[in-house]
Amino acid sequence: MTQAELRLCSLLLQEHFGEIVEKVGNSLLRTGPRPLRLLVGDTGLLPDQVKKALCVLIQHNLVRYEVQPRGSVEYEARSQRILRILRYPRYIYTAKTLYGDPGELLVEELLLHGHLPMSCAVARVANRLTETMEDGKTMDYTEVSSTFVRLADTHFIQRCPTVPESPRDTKAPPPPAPALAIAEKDMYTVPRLSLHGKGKRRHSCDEDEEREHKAKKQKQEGGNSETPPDDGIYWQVNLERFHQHFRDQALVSAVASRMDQTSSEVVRTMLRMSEVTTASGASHTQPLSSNEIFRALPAGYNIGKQVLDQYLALLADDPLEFVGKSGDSGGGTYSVNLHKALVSLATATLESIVEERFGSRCARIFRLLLRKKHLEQKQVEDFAMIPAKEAKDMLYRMLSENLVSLQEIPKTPDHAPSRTFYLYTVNVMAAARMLLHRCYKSVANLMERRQHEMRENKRLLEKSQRVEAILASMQATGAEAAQLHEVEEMITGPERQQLENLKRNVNKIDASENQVDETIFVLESFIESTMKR
Amino acid sequence: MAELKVKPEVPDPMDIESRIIELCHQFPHGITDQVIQNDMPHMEAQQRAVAINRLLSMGQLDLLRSSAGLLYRIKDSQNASKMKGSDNQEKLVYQIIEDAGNKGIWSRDIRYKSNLPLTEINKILKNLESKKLIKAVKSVAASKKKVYMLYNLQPDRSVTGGAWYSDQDFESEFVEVLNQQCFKFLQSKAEAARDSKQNPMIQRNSSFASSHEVWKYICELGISKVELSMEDIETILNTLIYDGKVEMTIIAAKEGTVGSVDGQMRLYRAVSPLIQPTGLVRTPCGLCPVFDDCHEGGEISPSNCIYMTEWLEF
Repeated sequence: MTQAELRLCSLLLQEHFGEIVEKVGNSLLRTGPRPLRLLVGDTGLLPDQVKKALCVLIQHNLVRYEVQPRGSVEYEARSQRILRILRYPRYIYTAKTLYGDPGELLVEELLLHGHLPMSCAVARVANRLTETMEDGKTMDYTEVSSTFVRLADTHFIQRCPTVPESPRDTKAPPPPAPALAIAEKDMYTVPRLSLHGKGKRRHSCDEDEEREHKAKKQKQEGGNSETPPDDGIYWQVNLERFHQHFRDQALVSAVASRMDQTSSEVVRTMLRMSEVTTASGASHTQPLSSNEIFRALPAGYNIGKQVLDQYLALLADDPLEFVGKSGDSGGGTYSVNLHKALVSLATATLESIVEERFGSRCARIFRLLLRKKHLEQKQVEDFAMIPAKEAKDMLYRMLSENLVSLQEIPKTPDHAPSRTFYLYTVNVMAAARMLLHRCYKSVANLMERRQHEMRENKRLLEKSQRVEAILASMQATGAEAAQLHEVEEMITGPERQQLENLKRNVNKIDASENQVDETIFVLESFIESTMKR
Repeated sequence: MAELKVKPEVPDPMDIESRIIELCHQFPHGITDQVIQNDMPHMEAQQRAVAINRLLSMGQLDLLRSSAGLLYRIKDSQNASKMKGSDNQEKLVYQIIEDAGNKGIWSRDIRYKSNLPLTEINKILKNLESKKLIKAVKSVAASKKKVYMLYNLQPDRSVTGGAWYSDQDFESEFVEVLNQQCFKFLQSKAEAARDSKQNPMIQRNSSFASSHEVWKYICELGISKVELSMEDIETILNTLIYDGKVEMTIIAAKEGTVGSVDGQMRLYRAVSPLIQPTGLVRTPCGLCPVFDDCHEGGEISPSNCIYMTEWLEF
């Protein structure tokens, strides 16, 4: 847990959950797993508050608990999971592109609530969709629940672990904290529910509808008193699956830019076929025969079998080595080399960072060192064809930033500098970790700046909110256009301009936070994949 | 009876020398002692030695050692005239420098080989330089080092640095221009292949260019005053690989096809970058020079970062 990670986690907790949860989370992050008593003592808050904060954190999977052998329960904060909060917009956007509006809202609801039973989720989403639809139309539950089922089938959402069914032994006292478990096969099975109904609007002006709603409401209240049919079955978002999807996306776009569109489609097909069959940390996908790939190509692409074979052969021969040929049965079996792909993407990221920060000549030296591993200064100058003085300057700058390191090879037992070889080298893992740390700090800086901007303009924001509230109430009571105009005039021209600026700046900072998060994703996946091998 | 003493004819010393010189002219590669003896059998060894020594000291004969023994060779008359004014030490130094060929030799090495003190060496070198017999060439590796070689010899590539150096200066603009030209050539080739819209194998193969093709193109462009070899072009293409703009494959080619070296051929192809500039560098923090000093509440903090203020105003 580096300093930058800690700072980012506490900023995220504060922004999304408030001060108390932030304090509790902070304390847990800094000091590691501890029981409730110590936690209360550390944070100086009331035990009730701490309990509620812990509830919130556990509900969102940000804290986990463990029963220690001595009988106490220890709580541990999961820093990795807290950092994922940054990525929520990307998850929601992906769900939108894949499954449309119902999918987007379902994922959003699940992310914001942590755990939700299916019936609850479907009801909420239907209500929200109905509000955005035109007057008179409502969203049917069946469409939403079918999207839900599709999300579960492709493993984007999964069931939460539940209390295992154990024979209730009344003599033994129940454990202080239940150990939750779920069988692998149950994780994605959707319970058979017959959800009927339509979405409701929160408030509507139509009188007829109101009466209708009143009648429905009574019926519904009668229905609400009984427990929903899927009580106890809670669903959460499967982040790993989303990460797999992001990785596939990055791979496909890299292939598209390096080769051509059709090759990227072939790779996309291969990845889609191995979505559910490949474990999340695997370094290769399962081998797929070219016949299978041909059958699974999307309908729009009518390329012949031979052409597909040629594309596969080209992909396998390419220096990128994303696709490897593993056999000849079935017309040639091919698999995607995921680890190599992540390594290439991560090195491309490193190279691009060096290029933007130091210039393209430095990037040339950096790539040269990546290829040749260890080089003397003279050799660097010769290979890169850069004059000696400039090459020296660039190497020293990169050395001071720790992107490049020196390896000493002494010729004599006393490491006399005049008789030692000094070789420059790039340590990719170390550089990746260092840049990841820098990313975390950058995101934290951006968030602070955004909060600062909001604070600076607090007075103005409050004023505009008041004006809007007045306008809304006046419209509801049917005021004249002249009066509305007067109220609008309360915000002067420059203030309006300032508000515009503020909105634009906040949006810009938000967007760049997401962009830095993309870099974080690539670097983290690379580090994780290398550590697993 | 008076004893007849056959007085051995004392051949004229001058005759001996001229005879030896004639023999040397007959055999320009050098004559051994044996040959002289065969020619003038009545000569005594001592007389022969005296004659030969005189010729050597006059600088008309060269003494060489070969597997058969000692060889005497006529010295080039032009050279012989040059060295007339010099003494033995200078001749020795000159010989050492001549032996070094076109790589030249450093003054310290001359000292080792000739065992002469440093001051003498320096005097002799200055002398020889003024007589325009040797010249000093600055080495490109260590700019303070001077190597000496014969006046009319062309310095070797390793000393001057080859095609990329002109007068000890690395020509970076020249390299840059070549770089861009090669890249443009490969890029246009790749685009032509992409537009041809044939099946992918042919498309890819036609987007490759061998190093020989690139070399021919650059030679025809005529932007280089110096003659460039294929290795030079390959070093330029390697820099393009390190720029990430070009990729290379090696294929096995038949001996005899144009451009193949040892049965292999190098093919180059222009490629586009793998990813767009990454997210981190799109924010001010990614490129900030004072990143490490920035923390909340300090002189430099996100709240008052001037880079961010400028960036937000775009």
